[in-house]
Amino acid sequence: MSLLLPGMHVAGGTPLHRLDPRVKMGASLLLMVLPFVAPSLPSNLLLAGFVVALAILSAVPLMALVRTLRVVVWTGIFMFVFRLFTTPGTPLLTVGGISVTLQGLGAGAVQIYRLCLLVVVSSLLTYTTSPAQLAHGVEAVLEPLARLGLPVREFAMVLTIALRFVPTLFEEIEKIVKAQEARGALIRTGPLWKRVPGWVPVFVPLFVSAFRRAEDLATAMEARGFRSAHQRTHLYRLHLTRHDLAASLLILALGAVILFVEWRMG
Amino acid sequence: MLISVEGLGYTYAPSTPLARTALRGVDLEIRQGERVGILGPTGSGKSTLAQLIAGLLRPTSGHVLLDGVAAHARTADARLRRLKVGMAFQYPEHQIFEQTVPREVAFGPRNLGLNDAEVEARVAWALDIVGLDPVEMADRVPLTLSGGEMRRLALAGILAMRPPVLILDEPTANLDPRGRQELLTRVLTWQAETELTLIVISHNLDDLARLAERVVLLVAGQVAADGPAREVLSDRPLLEDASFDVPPPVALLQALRQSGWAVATNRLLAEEAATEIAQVWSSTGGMV
Amino acid sequence: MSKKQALGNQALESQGARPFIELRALTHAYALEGGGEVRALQGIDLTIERGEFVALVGPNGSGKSTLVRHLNGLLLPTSGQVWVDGLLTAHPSSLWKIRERVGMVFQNPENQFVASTVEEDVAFGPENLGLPPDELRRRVDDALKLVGLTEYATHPPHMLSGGQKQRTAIAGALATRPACIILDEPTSMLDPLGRRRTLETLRSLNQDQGITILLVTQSMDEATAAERMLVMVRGRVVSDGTPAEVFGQGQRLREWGLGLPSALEIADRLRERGLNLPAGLLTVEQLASALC
Ligand SMILES: Nc1ncnc2c1ncn2[C@@H]1O[C@H](COP(=O)(O)OP(=O)(O)OP(=O)(O)O)[C@@H](O)[C@H]1O
Ligand SMILES: Nc1ncnc2c1ncn2[C@@H]1O[C@H](COP(=O)(O)OP(=O)(O)OP(=O)(O)O)[C@@H](O)[C@H]1O
Ligand SMILES: [Mg+2]
Ligand SMILES: [Mg+2]
Repeated sequence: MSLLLPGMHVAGGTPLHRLDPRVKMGASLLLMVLPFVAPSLPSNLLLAGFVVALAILSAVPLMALVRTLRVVVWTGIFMFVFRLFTTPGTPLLTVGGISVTLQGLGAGAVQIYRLCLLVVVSSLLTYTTSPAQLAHGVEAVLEPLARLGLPVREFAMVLTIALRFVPTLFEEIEKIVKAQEARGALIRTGPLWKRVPGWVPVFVPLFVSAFRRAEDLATAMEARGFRSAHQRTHLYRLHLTRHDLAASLLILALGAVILFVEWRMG
Repeated sequence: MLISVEGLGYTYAPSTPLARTALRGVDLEIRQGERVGILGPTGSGKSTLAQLIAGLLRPTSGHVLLDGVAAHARTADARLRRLKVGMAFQYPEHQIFEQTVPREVAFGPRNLGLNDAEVEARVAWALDIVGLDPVEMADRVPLTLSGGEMRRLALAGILAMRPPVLILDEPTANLDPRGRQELLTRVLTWQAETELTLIVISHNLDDLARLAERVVLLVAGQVAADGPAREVLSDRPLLEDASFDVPPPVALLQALRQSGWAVATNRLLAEEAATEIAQVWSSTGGMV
Repeated sequence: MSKKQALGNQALESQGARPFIELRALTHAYALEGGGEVRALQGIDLTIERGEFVALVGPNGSGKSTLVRHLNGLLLPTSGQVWVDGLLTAHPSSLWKIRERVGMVFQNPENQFVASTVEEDVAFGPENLGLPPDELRRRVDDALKLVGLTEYATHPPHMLSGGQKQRTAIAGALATRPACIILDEPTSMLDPLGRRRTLETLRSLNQDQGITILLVTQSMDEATAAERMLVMVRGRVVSDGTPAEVFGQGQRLREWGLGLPSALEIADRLRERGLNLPAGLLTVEQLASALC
């Protein structure tokens, strides 16, 4: 596996890596919500610029980041087409009673942009924060709810496992493809009409092995003394530093500026 | 088939903080019918090299050529050559994906375009070579086999393709001593009959002593030695530098030599060492 | 000697005269999907005392992994009983107590990884003990240093070489510091230096801290490191004694599909060629000094 996978964490020493997971989660949430409350072009240029700056700061290979967008290609196309045809407005082209509108084109583009932002921001979050730290952060943020008797720690544990499992699935695909290619299957070679059927035998074992991996994981956790999320402590200690404070102020300032821009533009 | 490895380099996850250069500037040439052992400490790049030769990874620098064609190329020509290279992975679990034992073994032969009868014959032949009972195994789910049984199954899946080039990554790990002996003997017999090219990666020096005529030592992704098995495997300073000991028979001979026995020290197998010691012993009239 | 004394005291302090691990008439049958079953364990009676260092050998499919999976309750007996430190594995409420006492290294290290980086994975066991972060950090760093993986601490476990994975798994068991460690062929893919280091670590855990060790292995040389050796064949324990005693039955071992340690093997062949050698030469050093 030579490339970066969606949802993968890569340990590092960049300022983004060192931030407290709670700050990063809050910031990500804000960055994902802002485009919905702030539709104007200038605020979104600012927002997009900010996210690109973060990506550069995180030292994530930019090509890899772009490649993670492939995961949502189909969703993106679907949303774009849907908007294209369903948005009322000036017709550009009419096919069988359904019109493509200028407004639809715009709305579709906005959808794609939001989707990309969503994927990029969440990739940055997982890239710079390990699942364990993320879960630890979630747990800390939701701690007050635990006092109301909600299963916050369990939820955080489930989250860690789910996050850990995403790369596992990609790994599993890679493994099965390699295993079959090593024995002459046509998967990445040959004409397309032969390649597509080649993928079919990949998915059946993938399905089976995904369950197996989940089962193995449960066994491993048990064997290694996992009883309940309550007994556990964490290797990493959460504590807010001056950097965290500065980052929080920065992101709040960004939010304020954008809201101000929106307000001025009506 | 001629395998030429030229200036080969490989880096995992390049240009990320996890980047790890597994191989750098490796040059090797392996001719049809050679028996080559690959040796090296943990993490030295052996499995990476094996996968590059099998065309499963794309070199980050340099080339792997199978009869002059790049091993990883996505062309029909390259695929035909890749079909001639069979590789058994280090972990059997990385190789096994089918839901029954016979289907697992049959996967490769089917891709060769053999008919049902031929495929069946191959399956029976391969299960026999690795010592799995076809009746007992008929409806076992591969991933519930024991560790050693899974290793055998994985090997069978590759052997059934009868590739002219066979790469085995730690083939005897998890095998019991008899299973190991039998496998080595059968592979060797088959090798001699068919002029098979054999590339074996193993931490077990006895495996290499039995299977390989030539040994390549990898250290930190580079070739540290490449020569006749007898020389490389009895070179104590070289091996110790690479986290290895000489094989026990050599260790014994070297110890004896130090205390005055006039024995040769490059006997790699127990029986050879015993013969050597007995000879020297009787030539001195049973006295040393 | 001092070890045995110390252990004697410890044993008295804890559960009186009960052995640490006790198997009574243990059987296990795996049900097959298409009907039928595999009878992997066929009546095993066995006790292991606190502080023993036991090697378990046997041909492929003889039931070694099945047996060891009973010792921490990952598998439950089809019939018979498994007691660990006076606790019955069949009692669901004892399971976590048993797993606190018995750590395990799986035959395939990949099946044991639960976290996304090497250090988080090694920390998983100790985290379950509820240790404070400083202590966790110390244990993780110590364990990684011991297996020589410090530079890989923040790597994902699946991006390691075969042997590095095995080392990570060993570190995970060491960091938990249980009363007993079971290792299922932990060194099958390590280079000799890694092997030797692992064995030395196990020996010192056993000697200095009285930790009980059960080592499953296919290497007869490795088995000689233990003080007691068990041989399993087709779901039964067929031999139980010191390595010298067990390897003393040369012919039977071959019948079982096992072999001899290299030194014994060479000694046997020397005897065939007329040399006169004493019995019980388990290591090359012993053989060399017998010849000189
Ligand atoms: N999938 C991977 N992703 C990233 N790095 C990897 C991956 N596989 C191996 N590496 C790294 O590449 C280097 C060489 O690994 P390789 O598996 O080729 O070693 P090896 O010689 O086969 O070792 P072993 O004897 O332990 O199996 C190691 O440092 C390892 O950490
Ligand atoms: N989940 C399972 N379902 C059915 N049969 C199984 C299962 N797991 C193991 N077996 C069978 O039970 C027997 C004992 O298996 P076990 O894994 O205990 O052997 P082992 O002594 O550890 O062998 P190895 O040396 O190959 O690791 C084998 O015949 C195996 O095929
Ligand atoms: Mg390897
Ligand atoms: Mg086993």
